[in-house]
Amino acid sequence: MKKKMFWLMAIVGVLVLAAGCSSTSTQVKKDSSTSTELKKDSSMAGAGQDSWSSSDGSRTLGGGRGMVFVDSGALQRIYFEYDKAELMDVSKEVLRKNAEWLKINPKVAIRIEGHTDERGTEEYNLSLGERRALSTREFLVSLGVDSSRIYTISYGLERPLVEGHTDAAWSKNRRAEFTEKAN
Amino acid sequence: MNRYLALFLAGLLILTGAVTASGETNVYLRLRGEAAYRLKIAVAPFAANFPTPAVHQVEDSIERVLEEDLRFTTLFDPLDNHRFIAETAAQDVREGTINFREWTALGADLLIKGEMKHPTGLLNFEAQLFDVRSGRVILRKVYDSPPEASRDLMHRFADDLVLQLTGAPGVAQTVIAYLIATTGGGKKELMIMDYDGHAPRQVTSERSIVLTPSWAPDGKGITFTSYSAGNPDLFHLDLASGKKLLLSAKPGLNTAPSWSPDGKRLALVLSRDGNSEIYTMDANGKDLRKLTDSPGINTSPGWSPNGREFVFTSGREGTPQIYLMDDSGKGVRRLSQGTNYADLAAWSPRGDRIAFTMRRQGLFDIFVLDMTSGQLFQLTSKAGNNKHPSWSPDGRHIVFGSTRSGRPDIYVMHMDGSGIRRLTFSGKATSPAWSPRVVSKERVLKEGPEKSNDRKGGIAASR
Repeated sequence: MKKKMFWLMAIVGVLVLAAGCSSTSTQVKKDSSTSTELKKDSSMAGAGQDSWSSSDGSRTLGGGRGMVFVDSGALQRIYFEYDKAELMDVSKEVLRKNAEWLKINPKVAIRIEGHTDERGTEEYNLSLGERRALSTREFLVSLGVDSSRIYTISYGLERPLVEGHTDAAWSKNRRAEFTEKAN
Repeated sequence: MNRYLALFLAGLLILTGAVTASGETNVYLRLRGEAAYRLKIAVAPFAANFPTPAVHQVEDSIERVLEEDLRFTTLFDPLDNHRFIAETAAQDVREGTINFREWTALGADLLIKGEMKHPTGLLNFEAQLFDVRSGRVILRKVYDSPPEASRDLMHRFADDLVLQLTGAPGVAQTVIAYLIATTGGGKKELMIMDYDGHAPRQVTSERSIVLTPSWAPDGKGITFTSYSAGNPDLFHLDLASGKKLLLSAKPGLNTAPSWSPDGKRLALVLSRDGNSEIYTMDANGKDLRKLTDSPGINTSPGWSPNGREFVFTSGREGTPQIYLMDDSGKGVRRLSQGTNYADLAAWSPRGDRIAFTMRRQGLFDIFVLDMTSGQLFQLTSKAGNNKHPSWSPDGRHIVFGSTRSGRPDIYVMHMDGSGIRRLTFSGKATSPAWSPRVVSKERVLKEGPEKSNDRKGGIAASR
């Protein structure tokens, strides 16, 4: 019962915030072409480093080495169930809003940061956070966002949003955050 | 000599089926590692020919360091009646002889006598081990060292003593790598401390998140994940030179490294295919081979000591569980049962046991699976979360991370779960990894973080 209330409030809150953001943040960053920037970064890559654009079939761009990402607040974070990387319906709603924003800001590259709660091991949670970031990316791509604009990184349990050892804290920490590429 | 070997053989680890904690469905057994008889050993106060020996400025006397080394082996029982020991030693000095009957009366089987000299810029230590009953010298050693390395001298003698009496060297000269969360939060750096918790020193200055430290089999370097470049990439730190080498920087995760016993190949976890999978590659990052391909998470590979198998963690059946597979990724079979979370498995150096962490009744504890009998032993219980077991190179001890004091710290215990001792007391310490036997103790390690700071730009392989 409590849980239902929480999610109801979360949905409402997220929708309100998302609506607010999409109407206010319509500025398009004047940015040099994203693709040339990416190329520059990949040429900086050294021995043993695959670039995202290489034909080795990598299904991720990774974290965007050497790039700076900032949280502009334009895109809303989403939450996950315990030990799950599958997107909840409420998260998909948020992601549809995020995808719309990305379409009207086509020059912006983003990074999705996957996080977990503190329970469990550092190692397994690192992989779980990665799955969360990648499933989020996959959904945005399925909505028509160009995959070359979406970097991903997992922080596992290393960077909780809120401190605490309660269900409330844990549910806030199981999340994917969105940051914009600044340089 | 034979007498001592026989005593040790008699006293070597006995596995008993004494039932301790009773689980809901499983019965967990406890490993009994206590030696049947521990040799009583007296460490006489060392003679010193210099008035204010630097060694006595440390809070514990240097003799206590040696006693603790010997006690930790679980093979010896150092005599604690230090007043009588001092009186007997003084009597020896007065009479210019060793009164072995007095030492016998104190209950000693073995006696250590030492002498420290302090020639310019050096500390010279001569130590002798006597069989008290026969009065014979069992071992005599002379060491030179820098004056500040007196603890290391004790560790060296302790290891030589154990080697002489058991045929296998001790672990007093080994070190433990671990992570510490730096102030400000969200960042971790790599640390090293002596095996007894002394002299913690920071060896990376990533100013970022460092994860999953793992020793190279030769003990000369540590492989770890760092976020310093903006992606979890895999690096190798050479401890002598402080040089940092980029090992793997695929898009996504490059983590959970485990070196093959011969040091030629590295197992690691990559997410380049959209899922965490286990791969192996050669030391130059070439010849990449994919070992797992399952829809669930695959991580934490651990190379078996014979180099032919892996233990690893997979979520393929819904929850994280421990599995085995051969070195081609075939022959997968599940090891962990009766839990909804098991991870971080580590082979014992002899390959006969696997330690791992497993959640039961809400808390993580360290368990050991005996691979020969299939019996499961619970080593920790009812004291916080206990994770990251790592074996000492002689397989007699396990270092692990625990929150039993209310915050994350590193602890050590004997292989039967007894003798739990806390090693860290500041910062949030996690992810311990016990070093192999360190070949050379002339360690640059003690020079601290400044060295590695200077090398920040020296990521040789990235250019």
